[in-house]
Amino acid sequence: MEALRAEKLSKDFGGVQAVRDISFQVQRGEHLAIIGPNGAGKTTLFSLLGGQITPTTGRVFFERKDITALAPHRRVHWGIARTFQIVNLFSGLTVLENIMLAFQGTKPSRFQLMRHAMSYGKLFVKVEKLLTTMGMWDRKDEFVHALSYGEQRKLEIALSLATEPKILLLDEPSCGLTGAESAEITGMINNLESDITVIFVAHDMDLVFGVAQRIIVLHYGEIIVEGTPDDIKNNTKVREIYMGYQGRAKR
Amino acid sequence: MITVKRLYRPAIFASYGPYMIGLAIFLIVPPFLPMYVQSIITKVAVFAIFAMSLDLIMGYTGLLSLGHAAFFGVGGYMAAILIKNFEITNFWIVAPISIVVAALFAAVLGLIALRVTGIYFLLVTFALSMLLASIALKWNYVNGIYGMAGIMRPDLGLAGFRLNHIKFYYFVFLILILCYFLMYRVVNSPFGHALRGIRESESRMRALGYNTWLYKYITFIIAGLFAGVGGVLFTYQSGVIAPQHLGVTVSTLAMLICIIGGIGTLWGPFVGALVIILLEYFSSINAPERWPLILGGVFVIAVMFLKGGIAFHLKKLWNKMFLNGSFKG
Ligand SMILES: Nc1ncnc2c1ncn2[C@@H]1O[C@H](COP(=O)(O)OP(=O)(O)OP(=O)(O)O)[C@@H](O)[C@H]1O
Ligand SMILES: [Mg+2]
Repeated sequence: MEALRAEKLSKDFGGVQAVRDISFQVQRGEHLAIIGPNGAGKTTLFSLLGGQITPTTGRVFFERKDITALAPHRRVHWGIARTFQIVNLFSGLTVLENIMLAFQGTKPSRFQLMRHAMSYGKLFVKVEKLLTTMGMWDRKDEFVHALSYGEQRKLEIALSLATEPKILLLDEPSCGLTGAESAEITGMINNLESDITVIFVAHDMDLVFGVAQRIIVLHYGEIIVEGTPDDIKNNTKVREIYMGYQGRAKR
Repeated sequence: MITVKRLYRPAIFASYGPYMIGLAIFLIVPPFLPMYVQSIITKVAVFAIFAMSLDLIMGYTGLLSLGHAAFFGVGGYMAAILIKNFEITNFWIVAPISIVVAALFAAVLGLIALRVTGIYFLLVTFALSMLLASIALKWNYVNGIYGMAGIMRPDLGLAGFRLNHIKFYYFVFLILILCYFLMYRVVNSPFGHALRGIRESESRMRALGYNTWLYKYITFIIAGLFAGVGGVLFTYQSGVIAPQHLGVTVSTLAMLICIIGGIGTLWGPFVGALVIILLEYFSSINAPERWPLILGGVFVIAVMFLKGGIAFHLKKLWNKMFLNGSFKG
């Protein structure tokens, strides 16, 4: 079943065409990787899917319904959650408060004015479960600014999971992590319930090949190749771009 | 080495002690004070309500408003209009109408001000409040530049019962407690937690399903409503309401009260109001023309040496004093 579809999406920033005429679709439960060198337009594409920015032209469909004009917070209610490449957390609040906010965002009780925020027992059970699976339960009373970078990255993902999404958009979930931490993320994505669709951006090839069932390669805002991990591994065009990219990254 | 002596007290005292002490002082001591001091602490209570309402948008939501006095002034003016121009004296009619009108103004002005963010929000709120002040200045119906004076203490509609000096103090203080209680509930509710989330990262809140605009708008109205409560009580307490009460001087006063007392705590603004209103009084008898200078000096000192405001330091001190110190505030 079709989960998400982009139809001829383009985004111009002044003179820069960050995303050009991109069309693709994802099936429910599929794990799709989007790769490409720096500045290829991956984050811009995510912001178009998440609703943070509106496309110059083109449309986005969620389960065949046009959501191009839908506000980002509404998309979350429909089941589209995203994480941010640069960690975007509530750094002055505790881990527990961060997760509570994330769970409450899609519940009617988010508008409740008089009841104590920490008195929602049912939510609390979910919070405990999520934080325990993320291995962060014993850190729940820590302020987010006091967490290590790796923990912040994990919390970044935990927040999006707490919205109980159908589609998860992860923008470089393992960026800046150690090999072991990155492997943990790989395991976590593979352990998600099978009907959760995952679209993720990564430069880390272990993560890409460890998780993706299909890969889209972006370059200068355009899709240059799309295929299975094996197709991509053996594609000469991709190798050219990627060798170039990794050469630059090493400098 | 200095060691802080840690006392053990029942947990309830460790958690709620500051409230108990504060309540005890402000309920028991006032009758023994000279009348002018009673007036001053009544004014403290009035400005505490007003500053707390600003704390909702400034401290909790992270929106800097330079026009909050607009709703204080509208509440105050509405009460004066009802009393003087309509000759309605019953407090239970005057106050609710005035407060609702203040909230309605917030609902309308909020639609304009919340179209922008950051520094522009500051400027738009400033401009809107100055617009209201200049209307009041020119409008004969509300006595223009002279403002409306000669307003008596509230008539509670109880036969044979009139509020004298000290009873009026208690009346205002009880309303302060009620307002504090209601705002406390709000900031600790899921809604209130969402406000903190917006302060920390609005984009993340949207990405979690929150309609952040609506939260800011509702909060702006709630804050306008409580500012209106402050304004109504101010009119009764001072007996006058004038154009400058809608303007930037009163808005910045509330802002300073919040910053000195400690933003994002609700009770911080009460402490701030106590400090500032007392200072204002002493400067008014010793060096009235120096008041802006003194206020500026206090502000600089507070910003440089009292990061987080007095409330933050009091809280830290309290929690150090008790082994199980857990005052949340
Ligand atoms: N808000 C913006 N305003 C102007 N230009 C932008 C904006 N956002 C992105 N761009 C430009 O669009 C292009 C694509 O940027 P984008 O962040 O989508 O790339 P990316 O593939 O995510 O790169 P990276 O791997 O570095 O994260 C870049 O040239 C960038 O400079
Ligand atoms: Mg990016």
